[in-house]
Amino acid sequence: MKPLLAYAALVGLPLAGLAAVLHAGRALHAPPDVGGRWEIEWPRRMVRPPTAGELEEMRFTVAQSGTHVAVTLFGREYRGRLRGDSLVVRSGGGPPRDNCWDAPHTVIRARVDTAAAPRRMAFALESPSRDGCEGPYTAARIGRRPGEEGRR
Amino acid sequence: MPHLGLLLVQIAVVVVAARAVGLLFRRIAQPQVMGEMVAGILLGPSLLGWLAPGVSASLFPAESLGFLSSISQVGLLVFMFLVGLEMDPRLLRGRGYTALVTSHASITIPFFLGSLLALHLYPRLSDGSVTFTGFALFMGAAMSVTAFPVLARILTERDLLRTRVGAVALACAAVDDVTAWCILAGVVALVRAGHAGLPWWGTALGSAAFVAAMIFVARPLLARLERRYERDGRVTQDVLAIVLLVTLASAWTTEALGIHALFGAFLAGAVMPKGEGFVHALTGKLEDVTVVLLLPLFFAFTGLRTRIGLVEGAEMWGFCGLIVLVAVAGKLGGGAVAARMTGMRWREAGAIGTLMNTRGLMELVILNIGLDIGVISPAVFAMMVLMALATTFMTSPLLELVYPARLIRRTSVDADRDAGVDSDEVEGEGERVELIV
Repeated sequence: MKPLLAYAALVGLPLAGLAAVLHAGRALHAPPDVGGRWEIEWPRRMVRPPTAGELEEMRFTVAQSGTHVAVTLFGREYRGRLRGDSLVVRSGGGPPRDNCWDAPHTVIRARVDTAAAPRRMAFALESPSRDGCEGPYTAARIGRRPGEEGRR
Repeated sequence: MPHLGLLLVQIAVVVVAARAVGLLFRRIAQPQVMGEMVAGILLGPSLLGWLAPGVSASLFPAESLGFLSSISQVGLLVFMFLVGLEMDPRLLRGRGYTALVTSHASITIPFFLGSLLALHLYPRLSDGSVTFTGFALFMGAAMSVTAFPVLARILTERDLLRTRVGAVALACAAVDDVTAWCILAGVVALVRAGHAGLPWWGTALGSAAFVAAMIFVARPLLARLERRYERDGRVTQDVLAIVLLVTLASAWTTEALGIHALFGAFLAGAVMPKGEGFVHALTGKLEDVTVVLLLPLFFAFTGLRTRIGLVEGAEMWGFCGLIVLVAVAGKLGGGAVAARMTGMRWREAGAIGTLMNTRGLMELVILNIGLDIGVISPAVFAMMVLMALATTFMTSPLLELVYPARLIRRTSVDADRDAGVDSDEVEGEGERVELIV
């Protein structure tokens, strides 16, 4: 009887606990999924279509871990949080380069359209060293993981 | 395809780093594989990419990683085949009540604690593309794994194979590995349901039918390979080609079924004939290139995906600490309590728990699958990699503390006699595994 009790306690109880956890977890919600490869949409005011090089430069990646988000844009990393559908990320220091999106201490404020498929976001920039770059801009997700771009 | 010259340079750098750091770790009484795992991390964005981003970007440009990944995956398939090959059912027979309860408890307790932790982590570190069930089951499976090859290596090095602790730990690790892979196959099927072109019930039925076919059809046929080995006195190139083709076909089938190619490779190894001479000869043919060349590529690829920088701030490091704590409590604590409750002395029970807590390379394999299928995020991946390194690193010093060499009595193992496996056979098992790691 004692071995049976020990087995029930050591194996049966954790299994019962697992069932309870899975049941309780159904009520939990995770933040919306924004990770993957994104592409900034070519501004409508531009009369010509983007070149291949420009198109590649307009792509960025979002690494998401729950509410923690890291955006890599032009090789510069922006870190921040996702709260609801509102995303705020900031870049660190470092030398500025000659385009709107690659400046130090820049803040990107975005609103994610979680109902759109593919997922989209509208965003604006706040940069102490860039004038006329505020936006607004829009971007669409082109793949959840590298290499998925062709599937859209 | 990347420039061939760049690929060759990448491979050379990875092999040099793996050997150098592995040697360094052996000097501090750690398994070589521990150093190789750390070398992979050092080559990634967490160190090289942080210290010398220019060098890192030119040595491992993003567009070249797909090819490096493919080569490392082939290496991993062969490694998983070898792990399956080393699985000897005789290890599991007759180990008695202690091994049965300890092995089952050392899976269910960490599994439960892992899923309990998921309640806290899911809203904070996961996202809406992953269901809670998938996330919780994956966390449970990742917490339950034990690195059978690394454990066997430690047992051999510490002369523990012929003790009761060694025999029970080895049997438990074998059960744990098989169980963890089965559970993980289920989790992958659940998460990937519909993605592989099959509904979940198609994956489940297909997998069950395939496993049955491998056990009841392929295994008797493969027994002929051993007879041929006994006739020729060696594993010929023809036999090796058949073995590799069976492994590739099995891997392809499980991948097509929506579980993972690695399960097929493991299964192919598990159904191979288990005669000691045949296993030894086959292992000898495959292991050197796999261990010296291909596995370090997998460690490097893992390292390149590990961004420890994502674990930033007190909150994230708090999550990381919690993961390590739960992993140790579940596996070390669970294993030790189970062994104690089944009649082992506290020191022996502590040694069993400590050994079961070794996760090593098998954890990295599971984590890479989790990241590939998107069930864990890059930050959780980094935290779990740190947990795998921490739990593997702590094994040797903790074992010395809990069960010092002076206490090890080289008594014969009663369970071996009961199982009809003599001690030399058990030791032989360890020696074979030692070559793999």
